[in-house]
Amino acid sequence: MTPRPGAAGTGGTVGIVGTGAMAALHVRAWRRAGHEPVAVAGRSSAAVEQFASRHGLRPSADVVALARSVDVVDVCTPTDTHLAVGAAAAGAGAHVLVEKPLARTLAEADELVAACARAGVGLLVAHVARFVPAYRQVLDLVRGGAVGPPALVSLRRLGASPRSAGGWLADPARSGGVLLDLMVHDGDLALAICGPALDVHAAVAGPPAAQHATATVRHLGGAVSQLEASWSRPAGRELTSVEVWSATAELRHVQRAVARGLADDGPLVAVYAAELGHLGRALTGRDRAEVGLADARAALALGLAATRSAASGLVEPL
Amino acid sequence: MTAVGFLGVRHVHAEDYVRALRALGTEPVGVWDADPEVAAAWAARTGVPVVPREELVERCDGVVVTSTTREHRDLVEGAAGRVRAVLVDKPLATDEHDAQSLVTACARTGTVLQTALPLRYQHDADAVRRALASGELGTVRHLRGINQSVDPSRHAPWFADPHEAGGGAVMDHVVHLADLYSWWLGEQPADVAAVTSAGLAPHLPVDSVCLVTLRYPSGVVASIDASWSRPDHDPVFGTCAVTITTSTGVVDLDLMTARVEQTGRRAPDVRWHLVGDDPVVAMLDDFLSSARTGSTPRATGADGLAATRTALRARGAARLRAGS
Repeated sequence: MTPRPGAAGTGGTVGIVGTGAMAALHVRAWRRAGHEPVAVAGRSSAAVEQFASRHGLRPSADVVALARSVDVVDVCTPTDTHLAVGAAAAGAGAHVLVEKPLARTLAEADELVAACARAGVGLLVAHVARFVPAYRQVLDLVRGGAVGPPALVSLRRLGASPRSAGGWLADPARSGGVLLDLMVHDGDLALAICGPALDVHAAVAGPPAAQHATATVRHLGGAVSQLEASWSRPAGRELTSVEVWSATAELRHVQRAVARGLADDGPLVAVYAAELGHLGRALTGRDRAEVGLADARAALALGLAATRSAASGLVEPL
Repeated sequence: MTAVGFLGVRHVHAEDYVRALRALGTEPVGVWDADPEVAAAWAARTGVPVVPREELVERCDGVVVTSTTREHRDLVEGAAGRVRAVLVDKPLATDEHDAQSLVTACARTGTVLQTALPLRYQHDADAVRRALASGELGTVRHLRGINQSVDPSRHAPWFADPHEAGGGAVMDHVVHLADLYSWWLGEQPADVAAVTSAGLAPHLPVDSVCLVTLRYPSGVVASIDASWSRPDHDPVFGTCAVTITTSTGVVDLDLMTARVEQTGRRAPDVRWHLVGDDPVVAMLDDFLSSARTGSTPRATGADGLAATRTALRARGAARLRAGS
């Protein structure tokens, strides 16, 4: 497939599925990364027209038409649609990139993986936290042996209610709630830092659009991690943190929201650009995927086990 | 003057309590410890004379039990009915039976039993309790507490002796926040889950990593990190902070916040000078009042029993997981 005129030409053409906030952020980030997003498809033709005109994209009639016209289809739709959208794109011959989590269930995840394998196209999952400089630094330090084997890891991701995002995030049947949609970032990070999980216990409080959850994970290698994710934080007081303790040293990074109204999303776009640039290269065979499909599936499995634990009150094995 | 004696002084808090009593104008009348060498060394450091156990109990209005946790039951029960009040350090005992037994012994003989839970005397913690009770802070959803410690066995080796302490981090600090949460919420946890490991101090025979998750009947979810994760060169014994997420906002409560920090510019010398009302002094003042008048302290034996049960449930849950 030939890159469109004017494209940077480093990673082929990209089609976006979805017209929400994540789709808009991805368009900016793809451009920053030197890829050319060219077209968009979605559920509502009115929304697609509007999104296309605002972002300088070509509206596509549907996912299949979109997939036939680009190299990579970037799926920025609700989690419970990842299988249908991703499989349709794969069937039309495009590489598939889906926002995290991979899918709403493990069965859907495996079906999507199989569909992409049958079609002979690549499939990867966008786990953006792995491209945040502080987490990269922590992972580099741990993998480089700078602090010794982690014994205890604490990860927090405390945000405001997503009730503005069209409602699907606050519907656990669609998004999996805070334990899946938000905590999957830190589940993936915990697995990357500590290795595979043995079991998980989780508890969740608050109404669907303002959930606050805590989980503890035992890892096969002996480390334990504590994950906390919230949609109950006042706007302007968002916070993320990572702490790693070994028998001999500790690492800590805390990121607090700057004062409300002063936020500049430049650094955020840069992080997404690093992520999408890497994923574009990995999907087209020019880079080794930082977060492989097995990693994305493991993060999903952990989030789903945490969800089962929060419902049962029991420790859930992985 | 109210006569106060120390029974058992192998707990690192004993000397803090002497300082607090002296700040309140009370000179302890004596000390006894099962180990005469421990008693003699402690007496030399503090200037409090060694007195035989039975004589000490006879002379006292109140006794402070700061022994190893295993020794609590014998020392409390030996004083029950013979002094007006007993202040026992936390946790009450290394198992449910001993904890229940010493509380019952005091109740049966009319001796007031107080548990050393100084957070109840921390000004901001009390302010939060009142604000929660009035509804000013909305409905609590989540409590995240850290009460991380240095490895206390570096100062008193019995803290890492399973026989004397009943466990490591899970028996050491869980009770403080478990009690604070129950005091704030007015309820005991319905579910207690925990993970522990020896990962932060692999040379010790007890847990040094301890994460507890609590679920209350009202729906509140809470966590406690009681790990021995503070560095050996920590300026104090550790951290104590709670983030309270409610239906209307967030409260960040640093229970060690009233301090002046001193840092050496040439050497890694960091010191925290805690300032303001000292919760330990307020706790001992409450104890002196019980020893004088038989008044009920802010944290009773029953409160200590409830918090100890939560720690024991956490220990049990962690054991179950270790075998899974």
